[in-house]
Amino acid sequence: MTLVNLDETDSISSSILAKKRKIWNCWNYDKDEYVKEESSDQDTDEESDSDNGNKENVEYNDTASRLGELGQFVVSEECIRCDLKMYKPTNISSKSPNPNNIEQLIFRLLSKIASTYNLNENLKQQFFNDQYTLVAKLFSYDAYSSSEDTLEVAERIKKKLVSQKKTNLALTFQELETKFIKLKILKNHTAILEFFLAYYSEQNKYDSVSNKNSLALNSRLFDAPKINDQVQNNVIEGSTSSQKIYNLFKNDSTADLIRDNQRLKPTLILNETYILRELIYALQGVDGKIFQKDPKDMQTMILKVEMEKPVRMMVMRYLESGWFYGRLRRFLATYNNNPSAGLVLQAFCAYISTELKEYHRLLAVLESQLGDKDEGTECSNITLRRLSVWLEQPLERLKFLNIICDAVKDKKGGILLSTIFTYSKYGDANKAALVKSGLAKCAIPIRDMIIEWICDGQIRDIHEEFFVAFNNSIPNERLWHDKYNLRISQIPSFLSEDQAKKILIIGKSINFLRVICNEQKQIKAVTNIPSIESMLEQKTDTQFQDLIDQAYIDTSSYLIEILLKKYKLLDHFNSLRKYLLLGQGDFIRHLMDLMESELNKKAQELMFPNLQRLLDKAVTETNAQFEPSYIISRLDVRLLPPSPNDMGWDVFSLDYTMDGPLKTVFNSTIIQRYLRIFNFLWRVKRMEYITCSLWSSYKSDAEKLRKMPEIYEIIHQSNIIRSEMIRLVQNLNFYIMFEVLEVSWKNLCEQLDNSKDMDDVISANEQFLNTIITQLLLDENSKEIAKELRTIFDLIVKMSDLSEQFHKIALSEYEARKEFKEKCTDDMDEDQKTALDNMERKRYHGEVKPKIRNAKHQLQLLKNSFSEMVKNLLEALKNHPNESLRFLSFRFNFNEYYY
Amino acid sequence: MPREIITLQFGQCGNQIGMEFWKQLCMEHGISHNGTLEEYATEGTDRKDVFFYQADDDHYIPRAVLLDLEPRVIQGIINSPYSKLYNTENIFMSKHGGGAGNNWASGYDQGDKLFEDILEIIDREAENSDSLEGFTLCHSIAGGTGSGVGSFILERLNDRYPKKLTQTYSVFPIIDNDQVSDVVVQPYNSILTLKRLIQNADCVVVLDNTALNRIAAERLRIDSPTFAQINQLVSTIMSASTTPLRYPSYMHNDLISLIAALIPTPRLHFLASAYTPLADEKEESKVRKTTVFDVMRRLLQPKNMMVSTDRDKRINHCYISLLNIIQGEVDPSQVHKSLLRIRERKLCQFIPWGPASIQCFLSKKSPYIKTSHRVNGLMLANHTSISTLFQRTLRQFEKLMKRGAFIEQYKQQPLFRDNLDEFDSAREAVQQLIDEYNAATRSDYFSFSQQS
Repeated sequence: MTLVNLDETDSISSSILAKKRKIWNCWNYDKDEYVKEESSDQDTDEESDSDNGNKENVEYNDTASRLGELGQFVVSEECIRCDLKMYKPTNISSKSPNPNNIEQLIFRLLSKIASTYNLNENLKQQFFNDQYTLVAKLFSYDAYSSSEDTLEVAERIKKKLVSQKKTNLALTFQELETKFIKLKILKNHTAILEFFLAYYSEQNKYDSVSNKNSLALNSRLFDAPKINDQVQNNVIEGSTSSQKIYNLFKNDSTADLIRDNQRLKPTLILNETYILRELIYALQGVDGKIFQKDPKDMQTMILKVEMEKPVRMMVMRYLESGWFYGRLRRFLATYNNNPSAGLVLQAFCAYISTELKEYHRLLAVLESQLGDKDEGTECSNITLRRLSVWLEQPLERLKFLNIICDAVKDKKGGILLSTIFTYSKYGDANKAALVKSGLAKCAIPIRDMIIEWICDGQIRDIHEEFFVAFNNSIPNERLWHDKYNLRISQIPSFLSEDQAKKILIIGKSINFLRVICNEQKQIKAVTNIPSIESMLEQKTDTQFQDLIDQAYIDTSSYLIEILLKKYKLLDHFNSLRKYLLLGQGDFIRHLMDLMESELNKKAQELMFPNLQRLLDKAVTETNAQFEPSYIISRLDVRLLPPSPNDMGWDVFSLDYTMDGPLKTVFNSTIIQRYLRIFNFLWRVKRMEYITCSLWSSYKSDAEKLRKMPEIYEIIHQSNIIRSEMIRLVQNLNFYIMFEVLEVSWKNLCEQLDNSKDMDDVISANEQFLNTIITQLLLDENSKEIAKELRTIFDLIVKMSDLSEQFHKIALSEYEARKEFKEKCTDDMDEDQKTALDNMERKRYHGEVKPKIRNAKHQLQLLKNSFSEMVKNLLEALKNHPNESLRFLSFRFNFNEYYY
Repeated sequence: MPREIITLQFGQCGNQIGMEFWKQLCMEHGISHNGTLEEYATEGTDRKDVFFYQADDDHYIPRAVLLDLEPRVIQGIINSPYSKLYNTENIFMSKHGGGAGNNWASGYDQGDKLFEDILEIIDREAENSDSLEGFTLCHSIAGGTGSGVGSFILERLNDRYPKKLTQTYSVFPIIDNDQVSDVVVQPYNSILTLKRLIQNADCVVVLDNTALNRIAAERLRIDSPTFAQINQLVSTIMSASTTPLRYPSYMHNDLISLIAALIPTPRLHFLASAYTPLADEKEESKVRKTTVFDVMRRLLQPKNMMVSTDRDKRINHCYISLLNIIQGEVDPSQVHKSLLRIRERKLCQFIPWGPASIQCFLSKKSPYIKTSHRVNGLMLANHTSISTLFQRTLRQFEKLMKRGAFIEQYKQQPLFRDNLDEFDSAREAVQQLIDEYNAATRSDYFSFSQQS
């Protein structure tokens, strides 16, 4: 009995061993016409058989998981024993098994096994269901063929039983085995043993695999890409959960067992190798028999063969890889070798290509694992199911690369790098690593641009990818300011803005030195090109940062040194301070002395050469003559465009000509601002000059005018007003000198001292000027106050005129009285004296007294309006946003005279 | 070289302080005692030309006129290491060498007689300068030569150089009722000189010997200070007050701008001075950092004033103007804070009739002199209380005059041969000055008019 049974099994095994798995024909059960046709071909064309067989693996996989979930049945030792003992072959004599009988044989085998259990009808169906799938699968294995040693297999069975503490059973098996060997009736002894061993082990294996699988399905991260509408739906549904498949299966199984069996049977008995082979083509986007490109879009693969849903779904998942692969290929086709694509994009394409090579390699390995059918060595460990392990990582990679490709297409340079960089922040370490390795390759062109820029100041960037842009139309004078700029958007996000600025400055400095300073010396060649990683991973590797810092320090300090030593930058700052900011007071004072009469003329009448001559005179007559010629030769006169009624004083200005690199620090706008300050200071100085001359001009007359009390009263009052004016001007001057100029100068010197690069120098100077301009009421905020100050200045000039007039009156009165006294000699008689006296009185009261009264009145008016203006000024200053200006108000009103 | 200043040093006292002054200037400018520039000083940006001129052989020569009617002090200068510094043509000694005998009238008369010779020297010096700013006279008001010759020259300079400034450093004698001074006619000389200082000088820096001796005794801890020590003090003040002129900057590059701001009306031109640090403060500065505020506060303390004034409760004396010249490493932004604190604490009282404030000038310091203290300060102040000094002098004068003491020796001189009106006129001028100073303490000073 047993022998027959075994013999039958033997016949099944032999069909497997012959590697002519005609199970394909079982698919005849399938309703699909197309498949039927295919299968009819099968008899003559084995190759296509196995190819098509792969297809169902998708569903097979799912079915397997299904088995795991449902399978309560465990193939036990009893089962094997029953099988061996009780299975009764129905067709003993059959020596060459008909492939069509294989499934009948399996059924028979299963019914034998089933009969050993007391199963009700329902459970029996279920048992058949489960076990059939399992057994069919076991038959489709190629693995049996490898082992030739019967003893070894027998030993493994024993070991297994022993290991599961089923020693009795092992002994039983040993006895039976010995019998069989002696009898020598089995042809495929080894294979039969292997089958049972596999059947036993598979039972356990499926349990665990199915659990894992359902987990994997549930936790899928990505939505399946669009393959085609129909497939998409399936995939999406399938991907949402295995529940769906479970339900489908369950419904089928509970509804009609027979139909179900008929439906399932053909899908499971597949020639996997065939499907796999076709699949490998499809994964490379090559049309095969089962999978072909959709003629509509030539992108998606469509199935030429209808498959059972579970298998199809599995296959579809694998096809995702193919689809992603295809997209990448098309991406490469678009951008690779495309001259309009930037260098970074080209590098990215190269990177994609290498990734695809990896993929190709994988597929090649898979293919070789499938073996060469022509040589008859088709034996493989690869199954559709196992393929998922092989393809899982590549699929994720391809998918991820696709996402990146979508993000970077049509981008270039730094933007592209920044885009890729954002993906390197991925939480998934594998993906992050993938992106990083890609980024490392893509960043090379930019890294090289940076190196070239900071070494040679050259930019070769036809695609405008570099974050330093240049504009060749900018004249050299504006080279530093305008020629080179940062393209902020092109700064790769792994570089800080500070680094980008430094990089900009380094190259700019090199160009500045070369073009503007005529310094051809190579500053310092970069000896070690920093690794890409150090640029991308700046937290862990400081090589790149160090290089930038070092290059920045080297170039900038060299540039500063050139400016200081060769171009005497500080000397020029100093002479601007001395001459345009009136720091060299003795020179300014002398210049004023010399120019006074000239500048009292109307602006239109000024003779430029005269002023130049006077300037030269002032230089030669003061310590300015000892200035080095590179300083003093730059000093010149400039006349500002006059407004009507302008005096020479209003339009006169000193000027300081700049050239070469100096013109970059002191460009014409900067010099303009210096001139504005000069104009203001010059005006204030002139006020001091006027008030001081007023003081000294009439000082010698004071004593004699004292003798006329009614006149001296006015002189006394004008003295006091003058003194008030002097104090205002002096306070202003003290403020200008110590609150504004000295403090800002001190800050400027400190800043210049700490200047690391040219920009620092420029901004130090600008800050210096800004502070001064604000604090001297020259900015927009102080326009009104500045006007009031101008009015006050006008009053001072008026006061000067008034004093001059009155002094003339006073002096002529003094002379008149002297004359009168001389006329009054002792030898005059009373009448003559009276007449003279009357005349004198008449003269005084008629001519002089009104003048005095008028002068007194005018003086009073002047005093009042001056006081009022000062009060206004103080009020305005008190509320000024600038602190030092508020303090100026405190200074003006130190003894609280005004309020 | 514009804005030169010619120094006239008359009499024993004038020449002594003058000599100290030139020593100090030479040190500050790096000029050796024979007028050559020291090697370390060749790069200087200072203005030596205000007080010196360069001879053909590049030697620096002081713009100074030395005059004395007795040879002792000048002879001392000629025998000193600095003998080669001066232009010998500018050294004027009376041929008979008899001096003025502490008689102002004698000095004044001799000034008259020697005027042509003196003027020749002064004119030569004036022509030697590009645009003369003025004259500085160093003298004592109590003796004969400095006061008498000085008075005469002041009068004449005013006529000859009306637009030039005349500044004097005038040493006032010790006025102590208990102590009989060595010159009994001091009050006469003082009042007579004061009249000229009032009418013919533009600015008088009052160096009160009483205060100088007190300061020297108290601050320098010397029981009886020598002339040299007193003169050292004076020369310090003289040199410090001229630093703005000698180290050019944005402002105060000429004497006029210094003086014009300090002196509102022509007669109120008597300036008191103060200086810090002196000896004991030097010790203090070792302990802590000297701040601008410290310096300013000390300068406002009466004990540091080089003029001894009396308190008069009836009159609310106040500052008319005030200039601090601070030298050393000073942060200019500190001035601001110091001023705020001074006003907060009401450390000084100002005139009510016009705006007034403390002006704080930060000056460069000579790089060639190493001092132990980081910061030093000079104050030049126009303070109404200086009138009490004149009041005191006037009181002594009147005491003496009442007795008619020592009047004979004045009567022998031409000015007083006919009458003593000059004494009255001088007394009146001084009284007027006192009145005006007192008037300046009141808010109606604007409508002040002298009753004459």
